[in-house]
Amino acid sequence: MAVDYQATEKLKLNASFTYNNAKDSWDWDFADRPSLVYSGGEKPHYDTSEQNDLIDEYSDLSYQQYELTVGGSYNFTESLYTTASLTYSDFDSDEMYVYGDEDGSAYYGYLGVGYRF
Amino acid sequence: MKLSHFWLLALLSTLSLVSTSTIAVAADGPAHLSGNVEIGVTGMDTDDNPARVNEYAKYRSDKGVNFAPSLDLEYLSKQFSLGAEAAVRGPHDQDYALEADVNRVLKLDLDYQVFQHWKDHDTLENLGATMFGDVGGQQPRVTTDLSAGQIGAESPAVAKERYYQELDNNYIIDYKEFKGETDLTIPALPNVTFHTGLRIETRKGLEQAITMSKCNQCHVQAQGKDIDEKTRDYTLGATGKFGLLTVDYEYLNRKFDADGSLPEYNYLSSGLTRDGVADADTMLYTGMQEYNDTPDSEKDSHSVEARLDLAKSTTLSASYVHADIESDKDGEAGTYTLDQDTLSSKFESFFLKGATRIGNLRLSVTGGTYEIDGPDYKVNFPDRDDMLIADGGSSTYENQDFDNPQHYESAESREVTRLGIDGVYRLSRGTTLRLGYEYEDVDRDLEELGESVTNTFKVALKSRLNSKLSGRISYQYQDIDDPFHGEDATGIAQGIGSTDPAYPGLAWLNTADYVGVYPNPDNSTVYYWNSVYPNRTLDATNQPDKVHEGKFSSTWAPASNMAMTVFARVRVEENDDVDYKQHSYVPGASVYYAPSNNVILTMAYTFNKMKTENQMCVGWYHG
Repeated sequence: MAVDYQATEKLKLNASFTYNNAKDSWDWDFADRPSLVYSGGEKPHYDTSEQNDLIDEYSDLSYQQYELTVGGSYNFTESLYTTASLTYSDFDSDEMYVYGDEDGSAYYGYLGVGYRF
Repeated sequence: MKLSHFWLLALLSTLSLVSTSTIAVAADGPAHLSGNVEIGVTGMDTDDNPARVNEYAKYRSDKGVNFAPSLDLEYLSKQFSLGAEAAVRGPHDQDYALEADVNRVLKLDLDYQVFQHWKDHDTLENLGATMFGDVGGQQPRVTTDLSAGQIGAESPAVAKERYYQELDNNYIIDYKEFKGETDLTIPALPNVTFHTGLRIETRKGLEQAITMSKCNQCHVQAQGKDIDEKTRDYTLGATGKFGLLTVDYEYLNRKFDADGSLPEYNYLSSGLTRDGVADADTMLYTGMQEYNDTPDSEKDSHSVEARLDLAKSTTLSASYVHADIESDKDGEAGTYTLDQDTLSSKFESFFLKGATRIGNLRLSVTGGTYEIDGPDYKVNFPDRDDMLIADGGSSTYENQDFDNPQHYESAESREVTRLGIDGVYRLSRGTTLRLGYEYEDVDRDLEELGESVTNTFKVALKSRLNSKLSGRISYQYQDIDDPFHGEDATGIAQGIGSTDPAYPGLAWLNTADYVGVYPNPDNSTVYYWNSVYPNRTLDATNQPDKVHEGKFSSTWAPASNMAMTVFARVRVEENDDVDYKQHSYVPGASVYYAPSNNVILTMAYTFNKMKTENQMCVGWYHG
């Protein structure tokens, strides 16, 4: 969402908000399999169905991301003006099996003086 | 002073001199200079992990403050125009652009951009779902390596330090791209315009490189890889207009160099020996090896396009492209050698298109072909010749029948033919109906990848119902015969072996049936690669053989200060041969509303859902 507002002849304001919500899931069922026994005895290095069923859990993806920006500009004269903006951005990750903990937030700010000719 | 700021001040000085001198030259015509200059400051602060929230670094990649000047300039006179933009937001967040036109004889377009990108960092922990033992468990090599021998570290303590260093790495790439294009039209030859161009792109920083060893993905390791890449393009060409005929030619030379150091991995062997042949020799490579190497390459291409504009809205156009690509490739001393140190590929295409209008019908017909001739080379593995087993008698023979040298052909090599017909019929003043058909044949050099034939049918209805409401709806159906796949690429013995009564997907073969059967030796030994791999019977693909896609969009603008657009896309893919299905749904809407002269609102919403069903082969033992 975004809004631009000419508050007065000299003052212009703007604001925007962006939101993303992403989810992923994987349904996978491993049936119990018979244990395999060789002449040398049962082989220890076989995955169990419980282990492979972890694929469901390890494939979950869930994150929310949002960004809010407010800003504006003020004309001192027809030529001289100032402008400023502030942005807050946030990333919330609910699952960490592939890229670890990706939670983070950031502030961005800009302040400037300009001249039109 | 930072280089970026010096650059900006130099640009301002140059522009001042140019504008001053040109004003004197064009004194008899109107000259107009306008623009704005800003002096600003940007600041950034982050908490926790910046890799996603600041993925394409805005202003900078870490917290701090920057001097941020910017300039927007336009100069217009009778014989000269100039536009310049420059914005410095941070050390790795900058844009510069310059356009100039000198009396319509010389046009110049320059662009320079700098930005930074946080890359993915896979922790490899998810491998615990299919690998016996999890991080730090019985099999530590499923993650960034803790064991000394695997990465050639001097001691377990050093290996542990490297493991935690890799987890701590920041994978960031700095991108810089410069583009410049010049058009020259000599007044004495007004119907020909000459073009030149230059593009330089660099990537520098650190990326994650992942490799694995042994006979399956048991041993997976990640390391940071230094990235120092440069791509350079030169273009040279001309466009000529000769009455109804327009011809365009362009020559491109592209060079890619990668100079970063390569990661290394110590490919261990089990130390076992079978029938006198060490497993190390069977694997063909052991010890420290470099990996994740991107070869240097060079490309030369020529493209010609021609268009003939005839009467009654009829046009004929043709295009031809020829490209030669070479990449450098070395063998690994002691492991393998190639019969050539340069791999060559060729691309050639020729397409024709004709379009005309017959009453209310606009008809176009296209046809053409392209061919990719990929690298064709031989690889010699010295250890393959040594894999002789001792049979206890007077003769010795190999334990496998792999070729040496082994011949390799590129999976990209193919010849593609396309034919299409498209018609747009005007049903009424604001409504058109579109019907289209396209045929494509992909003939691949490697037979096991298949020859695919695709038939595509399209229909679309577009209408402006009145001054406030317009919309478009379309449907496309594709039937793909024999899509790209790997023949007999997966599974073991399905359809030819004994089926497990308790687990229907599982099949097996009896070892005793392969004793003494070539290429197994004439003793009791049965080798896995001689007896199991050749008995894979299932084709594998993620490509559909049927696709349905529907799209809809409509815009309602009841007033000059309000508009709303809704859209939706539904796509269904399936391939019953491999039990593959994929459904995608993407509806959305956007709104523009200006309730008064000084307020503007915009809103947009998109929903995206994709559901995929597929079979998958997961190994469940580890050797």
